[in-house]
Amino acid sequence: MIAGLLALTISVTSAQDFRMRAPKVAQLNGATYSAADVKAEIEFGRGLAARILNTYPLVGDVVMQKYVATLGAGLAAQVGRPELTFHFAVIDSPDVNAYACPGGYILLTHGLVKLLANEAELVGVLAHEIAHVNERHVVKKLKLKGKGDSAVDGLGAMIGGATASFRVAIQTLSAEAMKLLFEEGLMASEEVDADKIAIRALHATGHDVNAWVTLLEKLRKNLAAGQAKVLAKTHPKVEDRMQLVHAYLKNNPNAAGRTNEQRFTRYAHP
Amino acid sequence: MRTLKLAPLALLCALTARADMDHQKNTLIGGRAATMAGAYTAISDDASGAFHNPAGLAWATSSSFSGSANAYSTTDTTYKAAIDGRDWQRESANLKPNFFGVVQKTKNQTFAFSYALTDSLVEHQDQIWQNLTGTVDPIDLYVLNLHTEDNTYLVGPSWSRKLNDKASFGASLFYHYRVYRRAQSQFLQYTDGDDEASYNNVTKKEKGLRPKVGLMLTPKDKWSVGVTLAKTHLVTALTDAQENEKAKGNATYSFAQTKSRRKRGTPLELETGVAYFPSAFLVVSANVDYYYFAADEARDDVMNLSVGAEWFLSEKHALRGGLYTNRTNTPELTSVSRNREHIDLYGLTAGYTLYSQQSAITFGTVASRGEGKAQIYTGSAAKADVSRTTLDFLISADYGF
Repeated sequence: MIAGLLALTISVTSAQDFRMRAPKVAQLNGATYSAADVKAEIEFGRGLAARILNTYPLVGDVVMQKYVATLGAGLAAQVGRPELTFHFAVIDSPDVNAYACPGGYILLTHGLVKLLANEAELVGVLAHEIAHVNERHVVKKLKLKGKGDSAVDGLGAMIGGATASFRVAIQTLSAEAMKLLFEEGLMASEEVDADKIAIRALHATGHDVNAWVTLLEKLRKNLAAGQAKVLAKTHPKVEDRMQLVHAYLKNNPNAAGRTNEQRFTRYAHP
Repeated sequence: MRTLKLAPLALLCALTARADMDHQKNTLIGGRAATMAGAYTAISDDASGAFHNPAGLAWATSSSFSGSANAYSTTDTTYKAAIDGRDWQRESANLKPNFFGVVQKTKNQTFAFSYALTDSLVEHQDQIWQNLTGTVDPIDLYVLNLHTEDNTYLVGPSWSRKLNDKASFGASLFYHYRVYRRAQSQFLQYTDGDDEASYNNVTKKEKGLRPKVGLMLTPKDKWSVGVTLAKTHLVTALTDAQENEKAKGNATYSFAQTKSRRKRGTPLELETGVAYFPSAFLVVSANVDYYYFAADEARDDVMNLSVGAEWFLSEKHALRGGLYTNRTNTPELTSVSRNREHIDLYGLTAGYTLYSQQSAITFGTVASRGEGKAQIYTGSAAKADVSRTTLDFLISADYGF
């Protein structure tokens, strides 16, 4: 009988989902997170960004930094979570990658910026990373929560307050987050979701959606040449990601916008 | 109403009240599980899953710890017309912290450690009857003092892992410790000037191991099936009974002591459950539980049923309810049986949980009632009608991290 029951299970989709009760579903959908959670997310993200910057300092090109920060801030104002202040910077790393730290701290590697050909591609990257922050992918993965402010959460506050154990927990999480960003990566489905949002953001801001295709093409070449090892490990297959753009372009044939290549070259590739 | 005649030496015997070996579901463990009437074998995804179905721990959404207490637990047993047409009423009331568990999830496995007071009774009675004229020999004064404590503790680790996306396996190994103490004294002053008295004291201690293995399956989307197998293996058991007694017509007391290392037979427990999750806001579950006794144990096999439901009014508020049976494993009373009680209990549960982001507090109540027959006189096959009502108010807290 047991073997029969096991066989029956093969065709069923995710078992965890239907067992999940309303409060947990609400949390995972981000429908309910408190001001305390946001505060914790910002503090955690800031610490994580500092940890990354300790390894990879900022690129000294102030013009480039201002350009990326200005472009990112404008984009975040349109598509970012309103309760966050986003920060954008380019770090001195030859890797081709970008990191979305919780709380809105977004770091692009210099290797990636060098690979970009125009502003539309940069906007696509920034929007993709903003999407990770908006969707709280790292926050959910690490189950990061703030101290509760309700009577019921008093229990949590007792246990997880600003004590030594809390700080140890945060440091441990920070190490986990580093591992997540630099080695393990997020789930493929989360990368795909971020891609979808990036494509829509490109279209909505009048940038050329085709830029996402050209960027992915370059990433594919880099991956083939072994120059983006980390990205290869942490992101879904480029072919799958390209299919997504092509499908979008098929449904939105007028998605070709501007690339602002001249401006990009002036500020980002001086 | 038939009046039972109280004959000389036919003193009342101390039958079980609540924490008894005659029933299998005397205490429902865990706030959520209890308020769903224990229909939890196919759910079991919190710390109480260690007791209900360790395989369910694999589906816990996070590491957590839980604690629950039957904040106020009462049992009221009435033997009708037992003393010269008058009822003999026994009441037990106690506060008992009955469960604490910690769940720790790792990447592929889930571990738990838990403690439960699975059965508990604290009964104290000081009762006096006067002018019992309908007895075989008229009695001026009948004094009964009774104190009973009966507690069964389980503590131990649990482990669970998913076999694949649709199936999980789990096991618990509990250390079983039961201690039963009873002190009972009775004094009868007869109208003719003679008297009769008895004092007895019983202590029982059991130590053993209770392994429980479970399987949880997803045969179809939104459906869950759970199966568990458990048996308590007593390693040691010691009963020490002492009695002082002076019968009517005797001038002296007699003393008797009995010591026994006999281990009572424990049933093989097969619990099966099914749960349906139509949405994140509703779950309905049912259990069919079988208890198989060895043929020489003078216990009947028992089947209990339970159904429960959980309904989220919103993400923060959930209501639960359920119905369950707690049938007795004692055979029907016969002319040759003695000191036996046969009561099937039927219960209902209700509860409310307030959720916040990381924690939940549950308030609930569990009530049951049943009627049956009891042989309440020492050495006599005479039967009395008996009814029992139990009422527990429970509170539990869960914290996820």
